[in-house]
Amino acid sequence: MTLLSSVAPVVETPFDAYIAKQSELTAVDRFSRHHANDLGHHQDRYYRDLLPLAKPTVGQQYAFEVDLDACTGCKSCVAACHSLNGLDDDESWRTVTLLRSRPAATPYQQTVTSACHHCVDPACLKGCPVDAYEKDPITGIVSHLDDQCIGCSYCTLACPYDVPVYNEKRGIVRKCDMCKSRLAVGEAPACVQSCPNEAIAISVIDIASVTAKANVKDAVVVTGSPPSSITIPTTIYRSDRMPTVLGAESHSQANSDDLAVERFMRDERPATAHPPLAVMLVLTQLSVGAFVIDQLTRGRVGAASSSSFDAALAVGVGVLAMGASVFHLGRPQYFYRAIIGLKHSWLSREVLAFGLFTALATAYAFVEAVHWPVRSDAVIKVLGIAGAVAGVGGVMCSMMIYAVTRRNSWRLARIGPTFIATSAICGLSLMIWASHVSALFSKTDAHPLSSSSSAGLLALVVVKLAAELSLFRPIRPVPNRHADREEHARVARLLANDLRLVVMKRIVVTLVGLGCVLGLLAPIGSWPSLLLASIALVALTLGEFFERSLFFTTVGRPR
Amino acid sequence: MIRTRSRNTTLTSELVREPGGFGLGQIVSSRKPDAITSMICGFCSTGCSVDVHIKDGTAVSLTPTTAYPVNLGMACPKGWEALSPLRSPDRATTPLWRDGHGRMHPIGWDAAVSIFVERFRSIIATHGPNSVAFISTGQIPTEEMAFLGALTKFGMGFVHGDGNTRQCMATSVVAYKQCFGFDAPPYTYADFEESDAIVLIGSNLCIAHPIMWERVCRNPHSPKIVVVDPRLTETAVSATQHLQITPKSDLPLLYAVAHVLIEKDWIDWEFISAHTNGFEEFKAHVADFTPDRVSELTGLGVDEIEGFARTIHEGTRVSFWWTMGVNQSHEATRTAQAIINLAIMTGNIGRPGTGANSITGQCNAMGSRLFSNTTGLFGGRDFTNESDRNEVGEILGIDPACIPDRPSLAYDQIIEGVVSGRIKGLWIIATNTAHSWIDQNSLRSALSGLEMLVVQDMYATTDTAQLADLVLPAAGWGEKEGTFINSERRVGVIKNVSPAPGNAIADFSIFRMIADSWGCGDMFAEWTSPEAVFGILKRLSKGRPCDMTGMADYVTIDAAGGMQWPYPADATRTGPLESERRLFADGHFYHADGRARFVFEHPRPVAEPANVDHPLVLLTGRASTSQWHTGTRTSKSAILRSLSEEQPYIEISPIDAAKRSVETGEWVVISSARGSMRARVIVTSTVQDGTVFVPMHYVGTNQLTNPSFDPYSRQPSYKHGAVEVRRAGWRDK
Repeated sequence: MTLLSSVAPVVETPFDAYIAKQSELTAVDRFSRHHANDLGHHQDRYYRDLLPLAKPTVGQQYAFEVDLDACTGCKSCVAACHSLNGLDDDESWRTVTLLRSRPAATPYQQTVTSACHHCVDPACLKGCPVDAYEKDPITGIVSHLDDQCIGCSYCTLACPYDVPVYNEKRGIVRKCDMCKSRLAVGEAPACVQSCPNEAIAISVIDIASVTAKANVKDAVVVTGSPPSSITIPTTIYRSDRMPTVLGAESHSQANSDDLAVERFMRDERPATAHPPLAVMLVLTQLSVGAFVIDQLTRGRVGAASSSSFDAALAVGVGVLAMGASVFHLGRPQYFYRAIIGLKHSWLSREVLAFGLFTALATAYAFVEAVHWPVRSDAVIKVLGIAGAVAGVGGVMCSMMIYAVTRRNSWRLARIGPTFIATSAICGLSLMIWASHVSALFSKTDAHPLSSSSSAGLLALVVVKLAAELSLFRPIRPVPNRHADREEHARVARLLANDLRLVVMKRIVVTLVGLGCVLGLLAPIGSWPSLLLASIALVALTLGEFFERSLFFTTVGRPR
Repeated sequence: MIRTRSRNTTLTSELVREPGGFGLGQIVSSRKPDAITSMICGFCSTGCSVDVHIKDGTAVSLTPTTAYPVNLGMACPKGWEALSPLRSPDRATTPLWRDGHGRMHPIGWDAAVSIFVERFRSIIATHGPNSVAFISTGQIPTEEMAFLGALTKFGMGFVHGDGNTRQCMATSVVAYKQCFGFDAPPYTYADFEESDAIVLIGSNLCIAHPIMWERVCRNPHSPKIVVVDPRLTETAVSATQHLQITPKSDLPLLYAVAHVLIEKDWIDWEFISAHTNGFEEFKAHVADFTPDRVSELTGLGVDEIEGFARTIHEGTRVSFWWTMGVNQSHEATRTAQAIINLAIMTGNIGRPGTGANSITGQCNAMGSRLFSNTTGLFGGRDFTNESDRNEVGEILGIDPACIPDRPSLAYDQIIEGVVSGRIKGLWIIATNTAHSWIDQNSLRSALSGLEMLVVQDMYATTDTAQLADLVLPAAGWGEKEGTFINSERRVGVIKNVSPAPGNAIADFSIFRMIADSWGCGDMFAEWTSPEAVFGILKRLSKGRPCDMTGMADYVTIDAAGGMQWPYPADATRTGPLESERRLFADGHFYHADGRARFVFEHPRPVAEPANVDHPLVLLTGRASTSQWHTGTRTSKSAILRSLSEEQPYIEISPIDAAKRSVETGEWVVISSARGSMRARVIVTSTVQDGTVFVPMHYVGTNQLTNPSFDPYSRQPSYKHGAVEVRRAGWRDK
């Protein structure tokens, strides 16, 4: 794009003359009457009544208060937040969703503006491994320290309301700070000052009473929101017109079941796939699975390859996994900060556990192999057990990272067995492969793992795949639980449409892996067996990776 | 030290806010302006003012103007993002010419203008003046559209030219002319705040005109709000009474309400006898529009119809507002006039909080109505009227013989001419016909078959520009000067605050170059700048209902916060006129006898009723505040894109969805007798059984719509067509 400054000043053609004139931007000189030194805010006449008269005192904090009867879906708040705060591209800290009546109910629709709820017990803050969040002790505003953030994106999963958003360009997350600098000088936040209908205000709320209300079973801030008990959100929604859209104690989610949430745009598309995280999860589970299996089979009659070889393999994969996780960060150069949030963040704990696992497992493999600096079997055994415990602890932390988000498909009851199965499938595959390698190349009397291992592997894979495919089962109507039914239908639609290819890949590579494992049951000689074991290892691990990708892309909101 | 939390360095500083000066309050430090100037937004007809923040000589941001009498410090998302479309990388920066192989090549302006003149001259020489036409727009300043109209019709010998305003406002023009004697929307936005009853017909104000809805919200009288709409819209939800009528049953409904008002003697006899003509005939006409009968036609209860009439009766200040639901109909003009009839028979006109008020669509539809010189001669005059032609000739200092004595073909007739091959050269300015025109399938091939299609636009990427032989790159809103006239007749100024990219240049300068090259430059010797043309327009308005002679110049208009017509020079001797004014306070209308007319006609059936093959009625309309028409500008802003559905969707009732076994989120194919499109389903009881709604912003929508037209306004009936919906199969993807 050429700019006008590059146009030659020599006036030759009529066009040159016109464009030369056009380039004189004289509007300011001719019209401007605005005074640069006016540091106040002329708009304050419109929002004076929308700000609290006094600052919060002990036991209180600021909160957004939304009059739903006045919210008519113009979305000016979203555009103004973007503009007045100088945010990027499509970044805005406010969103507007739509509630529509369900088919059988009285026709109705309601737009709902929402931003950060500046929760009493913010999940973003608790989950952050680097303490990049702080909650102001006086105002209660939950703000994000952009320079402290390493871009792990965990808060985007932890927040039940999808408030923090990862900013690819900057490699960090950013979020609403209730325009705290504006509030500090008596100006209204961008959304408050830009709502044509005065639907958004700032109030001072009583923390104890908000907490009590939020902890009532099924309480939500507004229909369709996750349960308030997770984080104690502070936003107050009011509606005289349609009181059942509110999440007050008398209008729990079940009572307002005649309203559906229209989050068509966002939820009908796959969520972020987080490929490095998927790799990291599968490989750490492979690593820990293999190490634990090695420990369990160690010294048994019929044990295959040398334990140190197995452990070294496991650790090698584990290191790869850690590498993948660093690669996932928006600002990998600050990866070392990830341990800061140990007191409250499962992510920090996961980092610590896997770090310990890697160190202990390496030490084990080394000592076991060279019997130096100690020769004591007891010490080696302790190292092995400690390594296994740390590894299992790491996998458990991984489970907790996702389980505490309380997202529907990430219930502990579901991801617990899933992660354990992945550990077993991938770990066993590696061990089988290692045994075939050892059998061929080792000078010891090692021999491949028994066919019962392969049979076990076969069974595991079949069961896991069947469980996943059951998501496609016909949707059964669940009386009075529209939300669950809709969530199920949403996931099924995603899998059948946008994610069709990933599902196909998942099935195909897993079937290939299964075929190879089946082949291992037949006596076909060392080399073909090794080939089959290799393909099985790669295919089954890849299959788990596709499964884990779907784990991220199909995730819905908390329930 | 990893324990120390990192604050206030690079990333944090990017979002630091500080007082911006100019009374702006805090803004992002990086965009702190060194100057501010205000101008009128260039999207819809509301005519909001925004303060453009200027830094280092160019616009960096904007905020709504705090004290402007239209928007009172607010803006909708389009307004907030008005600068973004200017910075789009796909701006047209140089003229483009299609070679023999169909490829577009950049050429210089001199060459472009020569080709333009040579081609149009040769088409006119071979096929006569009826073989060329232009399509103007409601999106450019009045001065530019006036220049275009004068240049083509007086200088270049064109007979035919119409505006895209045909698609939105033609109905109101005809309705007002016939009823009031002049195209004069009588209201000011303050009327929204002064009414105690507000009637909205075919108007989803919350979405289409959110800043007008702001004014409704500021009404301190707790007004009753009646919404007549076949859909349960955002506005209908906020209403005190929603009349969810069967599509296109509005005319019988309005006649039935008149029937009830007359029967119960809830009318203003004094006003009727002093200021109107034709009431007795009207009374006879509505006699058989009994609530009982109309109840069946509209699907409303008798009590609902009577309740509507009662609301009008009980209100002391009742205002009636309509938009596209009325205007885009097969009997639009009579429907608009049925609304006007209700206002004048109850004396709800000329007083604060009253009026029969048409809400316009585009930012300068009102400028177009007065000064585009397309189907009507300058200043609300008539091409077929000799004294009008002489008057204009005299004012402009041109030979009246240069002024065509025939009115132009309307938009649909021009398109028909293109399709039939009678029109061979077409010049389209700032509109996206290939997307917006009704039944676009038949149109697109015809456009490609033209001998010469010139598209003058900010983007070479619009659906229409991609069919063009010649693309002329235009500067957009914010890159040039002029005035817009908003829905309430307020003239406001736009300014050049941002350099246009490359060799894009103001439409005004393009017209100037073409005038000189055509050889009629002398005829427009006085047309040197937009402000000079504004002076000419003032002269053209002198003594007309739209008199603007009291609006001294741009600086005066800007300082006054816009000025409503009429603003005659002789009325301003005692000082400036009030900022918010309405018409007809004296009961004097523009017909020669000073009286308003009751105009009415028996309702006609729709052109294409739902039938066996296509059993659903298709409603189209605006679906979000962040999409403007065909999206050529709004789609350039990432934040605006994020505020609407990217993929086309269709709203369908639970019963109709169940019949077709489709559920929310699924893909379907919508088909009409003319075309089909894919869309995702939203099952919702906000639409009635037997009707579906598809937003107009998706390019497929107008492949479905049925080309029927109001016979008086020639406005297309976008709001009624017959379609069928089926689940999309694998082959449809």
